Amino acid sequence: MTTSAISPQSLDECRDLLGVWLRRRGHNTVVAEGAIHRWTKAIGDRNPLFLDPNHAPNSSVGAPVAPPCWLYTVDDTIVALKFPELHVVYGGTDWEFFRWARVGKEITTRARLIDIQVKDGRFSGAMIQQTGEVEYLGSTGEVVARATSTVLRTSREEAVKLGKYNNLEAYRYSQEELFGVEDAYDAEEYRGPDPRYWEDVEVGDHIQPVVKGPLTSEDVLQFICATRPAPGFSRFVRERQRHPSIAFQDANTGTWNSWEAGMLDNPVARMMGFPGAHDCGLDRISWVSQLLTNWMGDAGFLSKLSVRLTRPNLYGDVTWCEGSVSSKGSQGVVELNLQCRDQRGETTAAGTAEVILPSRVQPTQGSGAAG
Amino acid sequence: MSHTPTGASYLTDHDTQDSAVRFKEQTYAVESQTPEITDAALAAERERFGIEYRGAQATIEVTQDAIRDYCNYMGSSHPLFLDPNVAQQSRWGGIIAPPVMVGNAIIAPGLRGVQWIYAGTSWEFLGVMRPGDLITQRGWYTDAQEKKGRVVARMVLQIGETECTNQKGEVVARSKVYCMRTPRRKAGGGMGYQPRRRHWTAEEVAQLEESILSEPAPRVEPRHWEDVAEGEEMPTLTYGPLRDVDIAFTGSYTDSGAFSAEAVAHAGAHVYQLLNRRRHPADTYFDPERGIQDHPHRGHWEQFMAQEVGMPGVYDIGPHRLSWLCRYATDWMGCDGFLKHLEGNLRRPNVVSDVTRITGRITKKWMDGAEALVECEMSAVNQEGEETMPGRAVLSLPRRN
Repeated sequence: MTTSAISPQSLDECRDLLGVWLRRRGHNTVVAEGAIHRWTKAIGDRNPLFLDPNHAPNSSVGAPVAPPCWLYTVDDTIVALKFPELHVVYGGTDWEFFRWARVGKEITTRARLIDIQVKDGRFSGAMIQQTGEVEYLGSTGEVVARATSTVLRTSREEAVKLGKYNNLEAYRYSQEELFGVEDAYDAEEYRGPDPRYWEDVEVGDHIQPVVKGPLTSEDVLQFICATRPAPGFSRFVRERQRHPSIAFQDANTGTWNSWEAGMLDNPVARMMGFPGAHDCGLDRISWVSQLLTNWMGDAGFLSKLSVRLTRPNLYGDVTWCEGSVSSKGSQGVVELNLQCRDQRGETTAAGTAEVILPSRVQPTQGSGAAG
Repeated sequence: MSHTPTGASYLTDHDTQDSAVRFKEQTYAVESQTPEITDAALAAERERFGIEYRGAQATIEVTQDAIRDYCNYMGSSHPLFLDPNVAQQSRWGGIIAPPVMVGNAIIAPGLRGVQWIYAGTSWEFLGVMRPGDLITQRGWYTDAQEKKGRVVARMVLQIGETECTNQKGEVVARSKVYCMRTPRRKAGGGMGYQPRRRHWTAEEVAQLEESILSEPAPRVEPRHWEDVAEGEEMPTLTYGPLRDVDIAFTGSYTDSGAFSAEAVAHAGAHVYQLLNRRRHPADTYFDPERGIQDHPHRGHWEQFMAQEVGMPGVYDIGPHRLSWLCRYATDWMGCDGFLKHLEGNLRRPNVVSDVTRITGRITKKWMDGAEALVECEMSAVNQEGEETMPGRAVLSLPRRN
């Protein structure tokens, strides 16, 4: 797609909407134990802080809470306005977490488009990058978290033509590689009640990796169902008639189907320039958040998490989530560099985080414990 | 069906395709990934009757969010479940949960490597569930019967019973759950449906959408018992053409709100799947393209596995289709009605691109003490004219005073 093919009308309409708060139709409205369990298990997280009702009240958090990225189930952060002809590819999130989302809390959101750029890339040529801001608000108006998200609006036809990932083939594992993945699952470390003190962390420390994969349909659909289920049956028919761009006509059956099928079916994924069925993107960022909550323990608080998705994660791929300490600030603050690496050695996501750790000398900063 | 852990060096990589499942510390020899049903396997089954089945244990948290998810999944837009303002005017004084949110367990132990095909459920509902309720579901394995089918020579119908209790100790539902076990296609006597994938023309698709959108909205106002006549026809509801996204992504292929559950569908992804495969290696399936392990129920969204199972195409999930009968009955009954009993039998596969039309008829009307009851028979028929799911419901209706 050349820049001139980008709809000037959509571009103008988007620019008019910049900064305008939008009402959101999300998914979960209340932080509930059942919804937390379902989602936590869907990302493969075994942390008792989120799963064991007897653990949380006795922990330094003091009450049952949701994992930080559980907030994707309240609002998926996607602010993709206009350009109905273009696909929505999730680009990444910059999370700021201000407090734990406690069980029982009602959360509402509002969102606005804060930036729009025309970009050029090898995936689909010219594309639109839309940046959205989503605020998660508690019942008294307090901000629980803020997410700044990017979506890329890409031309499906152009992405197919450019075929950036045409050479990417299904990976055939050796038995040793698969055993290595099992080893990593078994080596997962939940710091839990044992505080990781700021004083004991050194710049350059590598943290215990988290592995996910080889990715199967089971993993993807558990995540989708727990995070933001697709409209079914007559609801789909109504949605499609209101927003025709959510669907395509399946050549094999003649019927309408939604683009979400690209996370299930290879031929549909190929229609949008992906080499095959793939993860949702939000799941990968959530795995990275597990990497950090595993490491920091119950007394730590994840205050910032920024992850950019850089390559597709396909069915059958293994994702190694890795991190290392990049700097130490005052008051328990630690910064980390993060990456997701697949079995080919490719980086599929990269980012940074800020974690507040307890200190042996200073009392813990308050923000993490506040409800 | 030997299933003995052996030394890790026992088998070569080539053997892993069909005869063994290798994990890091152990190799399970599985004589075949596609065993037949034997007399010995059936005798072993009888030993298990009466056991409480861990796979049926679940805690189900009823919240407005979980109810809304479940309604999306079963295709209901009923204000009794979704709109607190409308539901407040009903005899219930607020929204209630779709009754089939509980009692959906699969109770089908043993017969390793033999495919599960969900066959039906029969529910008794004793009370309503409201947001804030916490339901405890337990289940027992009660019976297994050998069956001879049209398509499969030898099958086993496994029967279990569940009891669902709220936080006050009141039983809100009991169900009998039926699961058919059939050898996979490659096994002798496995299912072997001819593949089918209906292609619809643009005109047909448009007509189907129009008929779906013109079907009656769920009834809010009371349907009085006096106004119902035996033999009365109920309106038709259309589902389809079925999409893989309807099956996989509409939310509650695991039960909404269920947690602390042992069942595979609730077990979680990634490491939880690995732990489950280590516990049940014969239920692991290989992805022939990548050599990785996967779950055999992926035939619900993947063509390859649907063929292995012997289904005519990517096929729906039994409890999902059964929930359509709940929508059918509750759409009709009005906000003051109460579904007392619901049963459905899954007779034939429902595959991607199939269209299902559900019809119903009032077959009986009677008083049971002060309770005014009606019975209806329902029938789900696909575009080929095959009945895929007969059903029956008993509803309690308000009386005119």
